[in-house]
Amino acid sequence: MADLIQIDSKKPHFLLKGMWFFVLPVLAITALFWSCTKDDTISQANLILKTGTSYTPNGSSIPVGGKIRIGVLASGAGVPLTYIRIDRISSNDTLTQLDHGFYAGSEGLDADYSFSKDTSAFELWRIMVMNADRDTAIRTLTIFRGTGTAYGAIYTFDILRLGLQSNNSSPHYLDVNSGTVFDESTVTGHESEIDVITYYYITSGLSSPTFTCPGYTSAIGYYPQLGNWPIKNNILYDYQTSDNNLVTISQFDAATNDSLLVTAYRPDKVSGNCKYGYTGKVIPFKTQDGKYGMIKVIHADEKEDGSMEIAVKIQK
Amino acid sequence: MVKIVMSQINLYLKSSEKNFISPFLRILLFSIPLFSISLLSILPTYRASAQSCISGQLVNSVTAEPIADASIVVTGSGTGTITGKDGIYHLCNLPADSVLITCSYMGFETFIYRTSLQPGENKLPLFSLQPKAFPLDELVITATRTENLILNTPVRVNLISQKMLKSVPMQNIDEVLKYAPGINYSRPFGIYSTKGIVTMRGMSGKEQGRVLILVDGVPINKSDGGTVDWNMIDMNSVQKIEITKGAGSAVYGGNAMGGIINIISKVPDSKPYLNASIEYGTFNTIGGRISTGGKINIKNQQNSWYWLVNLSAKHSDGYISQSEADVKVNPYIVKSNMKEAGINFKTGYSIAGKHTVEAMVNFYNDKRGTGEKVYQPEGNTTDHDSYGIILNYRGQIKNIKLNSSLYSLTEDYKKVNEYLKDDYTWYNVLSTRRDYGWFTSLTAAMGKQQLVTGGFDYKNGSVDAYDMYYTSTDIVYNKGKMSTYALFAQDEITLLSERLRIIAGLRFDMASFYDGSFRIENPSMETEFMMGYQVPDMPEKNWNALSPRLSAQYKWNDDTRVYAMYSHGFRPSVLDDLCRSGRIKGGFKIANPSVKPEYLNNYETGIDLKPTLKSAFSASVYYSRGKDFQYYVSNGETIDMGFGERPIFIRANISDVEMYGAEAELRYNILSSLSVFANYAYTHSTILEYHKIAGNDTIDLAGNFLTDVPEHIFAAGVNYSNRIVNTSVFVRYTGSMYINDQNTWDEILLSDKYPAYTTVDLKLWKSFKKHYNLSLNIQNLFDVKYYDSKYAVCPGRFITAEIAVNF
Repeated sequence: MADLIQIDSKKPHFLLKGMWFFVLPVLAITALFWSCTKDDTISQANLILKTGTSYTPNGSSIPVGGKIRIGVLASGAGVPLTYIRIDRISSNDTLTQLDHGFYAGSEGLDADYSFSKDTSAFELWRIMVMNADRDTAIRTLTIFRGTGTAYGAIYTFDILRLGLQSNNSSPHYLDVNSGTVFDESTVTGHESEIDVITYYYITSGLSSPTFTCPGYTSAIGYYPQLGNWPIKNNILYDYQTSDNNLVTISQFDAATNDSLLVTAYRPDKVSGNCKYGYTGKVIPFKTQDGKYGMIKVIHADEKEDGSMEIAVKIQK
Repeated sequence: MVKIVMSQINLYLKSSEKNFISPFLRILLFSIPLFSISLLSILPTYRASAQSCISGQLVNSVTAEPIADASIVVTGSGTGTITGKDGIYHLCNLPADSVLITCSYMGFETFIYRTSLQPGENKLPLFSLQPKAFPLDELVITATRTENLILNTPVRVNLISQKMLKSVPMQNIDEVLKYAPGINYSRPFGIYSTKGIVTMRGMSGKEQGRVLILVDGVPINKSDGGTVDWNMIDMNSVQKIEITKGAGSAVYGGNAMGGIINIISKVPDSKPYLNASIEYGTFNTIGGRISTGGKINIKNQQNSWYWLVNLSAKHSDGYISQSEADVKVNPYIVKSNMKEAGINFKTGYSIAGKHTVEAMVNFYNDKRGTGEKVYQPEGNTTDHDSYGIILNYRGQIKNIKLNSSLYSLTEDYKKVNEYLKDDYTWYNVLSTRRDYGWFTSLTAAMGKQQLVTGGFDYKNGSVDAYDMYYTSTDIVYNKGKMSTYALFAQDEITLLSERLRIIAGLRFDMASFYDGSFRIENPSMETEFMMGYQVPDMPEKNWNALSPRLSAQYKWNDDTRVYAMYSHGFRPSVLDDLCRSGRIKGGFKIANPSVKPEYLNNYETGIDLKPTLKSAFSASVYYSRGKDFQYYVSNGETIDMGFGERPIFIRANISDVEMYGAEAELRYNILSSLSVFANYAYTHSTILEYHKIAGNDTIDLAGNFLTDVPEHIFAAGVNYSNRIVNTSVFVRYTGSMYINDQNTWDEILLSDKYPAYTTVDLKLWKSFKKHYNLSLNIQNLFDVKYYDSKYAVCPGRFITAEIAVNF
């Protein structure tokens, strides 16, 4: 090789140095990239259904409208737990009651959920959790229809006025359980009771007077003081029923027990923490503590300093 | 005769090398021809004893390297010669008198020397030629796939030279292009942008797919989306960039609608070297580069082996790019940051200067944070792992030149998406995008006036992707492949003593889309609404394109020409539109395997001239009509994706467009150390016809302007080299441009147009102690803020300082 290479520069030592400069970085980079190996071990998700008098046991008979209470203890077993779904399966009809993404680290998930028994004679309740390795754990409950009905009483609040974010004269915060509205000064000490707030914005060209809740991420942009609240409740609004006007104003006005409230909330499409609320809309919702309710929009201003006038019905 | 004798000696020496001939025999062998040469050289001297000879050497004034094959002419005598490999010339039969000697070589300023000759041998001083300030007459290859001088190519070609590359303050290679005439450039977040877009000739700055980007002749637009990952191209590896304007599908096929940008990589031409640099700058940006390479001549310098390696890495803490409104409503906004590392290796072996085999291997990895972090360790990120292998062969057998390239480019793209609104959503997009192909061309001279080129190209693009959700059970798959076969032919005709030059070319592309699929596994509420749009086995679709080009130019002299061109271009539909359904801004798009290519006819004319020895002017005007342009168009249906009914869009060939404009550039070399340039481009791009596919579609884009096309672009620069500190200043004005297809008021930007803005970039650099170089780059000197369609803001002023060591 040495005979064949006649180097113009006649500096073979430098050439050799150059080769080392080439070889060493290449080796270093190669080692760097190859050192990044993936750990393919999959952690197995764990799921336990709580037992005790507060929870509905497997094989129970519940009357129509009666509460089904499910308590969940779950962990991702070393990786975060990220998903829970609860399906009600009856007569080959699967209705998803809860479809929720979240992020729970080593603390896992400890949560209680309540649902209402519908008219089917036999229901299989399937509870599934999934971790960040996409490993799932599933448990089921079989529930039978009991005798009679157990529709419950409701509260009705006929006229409530909520100010939109730039309205300085009307209160902004609503406790739907008591029908009490709070302003900035009176809400202190009642933060954990607040379920509904309102704001106005334009999205995709649409003018949108909107219902939301303290726990909704973007709400803090309209009400910065939420950042200091120790507890921020979430509420789920049913999009499908309200977008498609599946409950009329006259049906809302006629409701005297929670039958309509329970059956109207069908989040089998999508529910979320914020919902447009134009004048004349009826919007089913479910609070963080599992109560079903409905909002009737009597009037909604479409400006930031306006207000929304609503009626609310909610389970007692 | 001398040459013949010497070649015989060389041949004999070559054949005898294997026998390891003795020193004595070598001396003897050399003595015979030397004697012969001496004898021959006496003869003319005898015949013209009153005449003189001259000899000397010609070198490059910058590198001091000898210039071979330069022309040495004695004016008026009709006598001349060319320099040898060592730059030495020898010329006899000259009158013993005062003579004017003209030395010229392509790419260098002509040098004229007057001297008085004495009878006999006259040894002249060392002549050095200054490289030309304006690389107008450099060789380019992109426009025709054959080597031609720019002014012999009847197409508008702009060249970004190595000098320009060194003087422009930039962080990524695409940034240098924004100072070329008529370039529509978009990189809204600087180094934090996951993609840059460079278009021209009225094409929208929203999509890269209408301009073909090549690296050493190999296409790097991905078949999946037509995009180009400019970040992966190491600035250090680039020798020059050729920008060929106007449709060029007759030569390269798909994507070459607005033009072609060919990035030519460096080939080492000297002894081994090592360069290393580190840089530090705004937003705690830290970077480093190592380049090493060299060239070794083997076997009496007939053969050579070269190699180079470039390593680079960069990290930056970044900045908050989101709008104040977003920051207000989203507590999870963090800085958009970046880190990247890349390596490219190139090696080649050249046999007797006639055959070259070359291999290039590239690897690039980056991770760019997009500015929102909820639970994932690095928040929302995009990550590219790109691998590329290119094998080239360039050779010549008799009068036929052969160029052949095999390439394979793979990109593993990963995007982490997470956000917390109603509940927490986390999913990763994982996409493997692979493009490979084989490009081959043969060029043969048919007499002195014709150069015929023909060849075939094959390329295959594929995507295999899925969205994997971690906050629900869904996995959404899409995949598809496209194969393209092409044949092309081109004839370059030179007439009227090279004054008239005509190029005629034709290319036929035949493509097939196959193995398309879109399906969902384990759907939850997250993707249930898409279930009805699954197509597990899409039908195979075929299409073809015929792309002619005819161009001609007339040269009055070496410095002045006019040209005119008609050319055809097309852009194939991209795999993302053919086989993927999913959310897009404002609605939901469904895959459409039937989308056909877009076509464009381009007509243009231009002029180049040098008004003075120190200045150069070029100008072009063009008119283009596009047919079957692709747009997202409502199919008349709506879908509820969880936040109310939204329109369903489908990518379809629904509009005919018109583009026309003009561009001009003036370059002026005030002093050898001081040069300036200025260019301006006017563009008018509108939609002529809009063909609805749904009767209830309320949108009609006819008469609207194309989005992201500035009507006016102006750029200028000054480059001043001196002993104190080299300085370059560049300014660019980007005119206003429409934000959306409807040309309507945008609720976020509160305007129908992005406002115009002007940026100024500055670079200062100085070499010291022979091996060191210090530079200061200031981009966007006056900290001008400009915004994208989401009102996300650019990084503003960006300063980096770099120290480099060169051995």
